Amino acid sequence: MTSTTTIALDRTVLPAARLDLLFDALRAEGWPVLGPTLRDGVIGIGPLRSAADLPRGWGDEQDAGSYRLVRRDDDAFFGYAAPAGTWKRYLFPARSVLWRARVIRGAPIVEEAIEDVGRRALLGIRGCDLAAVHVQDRVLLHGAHPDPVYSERRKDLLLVGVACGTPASTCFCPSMGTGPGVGDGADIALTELEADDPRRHRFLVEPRTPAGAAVVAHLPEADPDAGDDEAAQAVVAGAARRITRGIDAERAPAALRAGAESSRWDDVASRCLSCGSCTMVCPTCFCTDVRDEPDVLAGVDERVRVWASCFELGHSYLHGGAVRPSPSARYRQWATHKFSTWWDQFGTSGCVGCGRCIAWCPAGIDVTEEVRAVTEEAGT
Amino acid sequence: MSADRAEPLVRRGSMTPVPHRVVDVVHETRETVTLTLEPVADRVPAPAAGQFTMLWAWGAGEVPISVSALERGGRLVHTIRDVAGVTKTLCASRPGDVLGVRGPYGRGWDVDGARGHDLVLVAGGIGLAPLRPVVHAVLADRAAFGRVVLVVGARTEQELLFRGELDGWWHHRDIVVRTIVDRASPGWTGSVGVVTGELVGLDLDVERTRVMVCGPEVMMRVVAQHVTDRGVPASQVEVSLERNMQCAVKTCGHCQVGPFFACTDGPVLTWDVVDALLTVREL
Amino acid sequence: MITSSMADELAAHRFFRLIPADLRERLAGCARNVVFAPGERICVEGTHASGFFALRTGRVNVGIYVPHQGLQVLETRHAGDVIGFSWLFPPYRWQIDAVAAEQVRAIELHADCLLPYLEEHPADGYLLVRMFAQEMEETIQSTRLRLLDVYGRDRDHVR
Repeated sequence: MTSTTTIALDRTVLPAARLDLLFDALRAEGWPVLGPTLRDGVIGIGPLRSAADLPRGWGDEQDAGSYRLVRRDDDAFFGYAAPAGTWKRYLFPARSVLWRARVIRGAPIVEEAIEDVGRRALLGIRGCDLAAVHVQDRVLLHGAHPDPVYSERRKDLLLVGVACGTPASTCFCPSMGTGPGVGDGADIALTELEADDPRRHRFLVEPRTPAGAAVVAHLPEADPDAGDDEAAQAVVAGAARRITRGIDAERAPAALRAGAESSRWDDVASRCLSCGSCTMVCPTCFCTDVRDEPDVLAGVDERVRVWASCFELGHSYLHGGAVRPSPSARYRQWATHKFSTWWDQFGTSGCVGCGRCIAWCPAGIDVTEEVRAVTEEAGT
Repeated sequence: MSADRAEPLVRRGSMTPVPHRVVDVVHETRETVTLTLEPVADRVPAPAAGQFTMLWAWGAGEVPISVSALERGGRLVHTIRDVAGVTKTLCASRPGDVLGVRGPYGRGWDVDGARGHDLVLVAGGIGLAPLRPVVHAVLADRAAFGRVVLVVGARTEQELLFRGELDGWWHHRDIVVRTIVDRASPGWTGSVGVVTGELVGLDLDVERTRVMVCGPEVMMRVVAQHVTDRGVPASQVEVSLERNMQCAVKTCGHCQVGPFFACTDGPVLTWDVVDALLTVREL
Repeated sequence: MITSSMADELAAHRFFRLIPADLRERLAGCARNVVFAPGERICVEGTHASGFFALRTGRVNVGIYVPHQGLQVLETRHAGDVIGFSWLFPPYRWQIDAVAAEQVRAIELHADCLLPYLEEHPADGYLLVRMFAQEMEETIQSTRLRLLDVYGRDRDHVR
């Protein structure tokens, strides 16, 4: 979505009680909505029909190896950190059928089987997850061979970001430069204001692209005043202040390159279970297994792609055995890829600081601590 | 990427194989087969020496296989070693069978950069297959290259690839061909030992020598160290890396070697960039 | 002078490249040029090891004789290599057979002449034995690499 046209990007203020008007506006512009919602005991991502589907009044408490839903003492719609579920699942599904081949007169006929999902709005995406979409764009869209599944799902997308005022203890987006505000690439940016005061509870709505403006044009006009802007800035500034974890993103690439033989990898491997949870909840991890699932009786062979993890022994498998048999080499691969070699490969960090890998690690391994240890060992 | 303009190139999803018919099957050794393929309808772009394609057999799956000769008219030549799984199915192909092809992919040998230079080619086992197109390129334009030496290593005489061709290159052309096996069988007239044994006595004009090595990683490391120790600049030594490739288009993540993807940055990389990577364990 | 031209020939051989000129002159006094026809035996297992050979041209097959199977060739030595470690220590007996694979030109160095000198001049002895140690390491490493059976493991290029 480019913003080169001269359409007016007029901001507006929407009372929280009338948030359904935003859903109506999205519907009017032909955008089915995906967003945060309570499912499976966590805040996940799913289809939303109205504001009632949002996890209103719910928050989360996250720490290394733990995630708890908690009741908030206000009615905030977005009073939690990045959802447990990832948006990635909708752009880059855990399982995709790429094509089907039938044998006709002895020769296989290949038919592409890329599912058409139509237009979708991602409502409530945080700065970290918005950055993750752009990281995946670099990997799956901007290479010499754009991925057919991702391209189809990415092409008609409206990104409605929400500034984060409620980070978890696991978050470290400021150090990765992705949050807590809504960064580049959103079509609309929302900031939820004063959820603790039902009379003043409202959203600052800022369209950033023509597609976003077309949606916002359906909302009642209400120019924000200086107080709204101040409150919105305070939301982001307050969140940034409460975030204590971080990565030295400047030093990490060189330090990890130099630290390939660090003893810290053996140390973390003594705690790591190689379960791959971190890679499954990561919004940027893109590794997949590509395999055929033939049904010989039906005469159909399907090319299937499923999420994979660099923590699996078979990930680096090469006839005689795996290139990275030890858990320490596999953890090193993952962390070094995220913070160092991703830059070499795709010109960006592979980590956006969402902290999911810390919360969902059953062993409570904190990647920020591990990277810090290797960085400090590397010295300069 | 050269391709005849008369016929359209495929424009499909990067993951969709293009049907090709097997037109020739040559059993090279007990476990190696050379297949020649022709497009059923659409063709893929012409490959370059050192590139690979993803070969697919219905109901079995898909594997990366280097091209072992460059042909015109959309014909593709691959030499495949039967190591069970998909390769077993591919090796059992018969003329008329239809296979799928994606590609060609990857960065091949810098044959053009080698013109005007001496060339040392070192192949081990099936590693001769990806290097054979380089030999063909040399023979097609022999005067463009300086002295050319081909050292071929194999486990035994019976496992040497392209025996007939090797003899032809040796007898009729201006290429020094040396063969060396791990284990001699009765009547073997070549050498016994490792490939570096054949390099020891070779005079190298180090500044104007290009080296291309393809074989097991251990072998490539030993050869690259040998020639760089003798003064050949590491940037003039190319090796072909082998990693688990599944998508071949830099999206599945399996074939990473440090900052590189073997499928797109490689498989051919120069020793100055991979030296440090291959000495890190389990990278 | 005959010895001087032999010293030059030694200087041109890879094995003697790091040996200082005065020692090379000394070694030249114990050396002579030899030629072997294809198939000729250069060393015979169990016989007296009277010295070593620095190969100038041609390949030599080194192996062990196995009853009913003949000579099992275990390694090929090339121009630039040396053959013969057994002359350095008792019982001064060849452990291997060495056969010229093609016409071979070599420099033969005699133990009877060399050993007494090296015993009296340990610094020179150290230098020469160091050269041999390196040659042995290369031989052992080559053997190790073959024990790895890399081509057997190399199940296919790019899988």
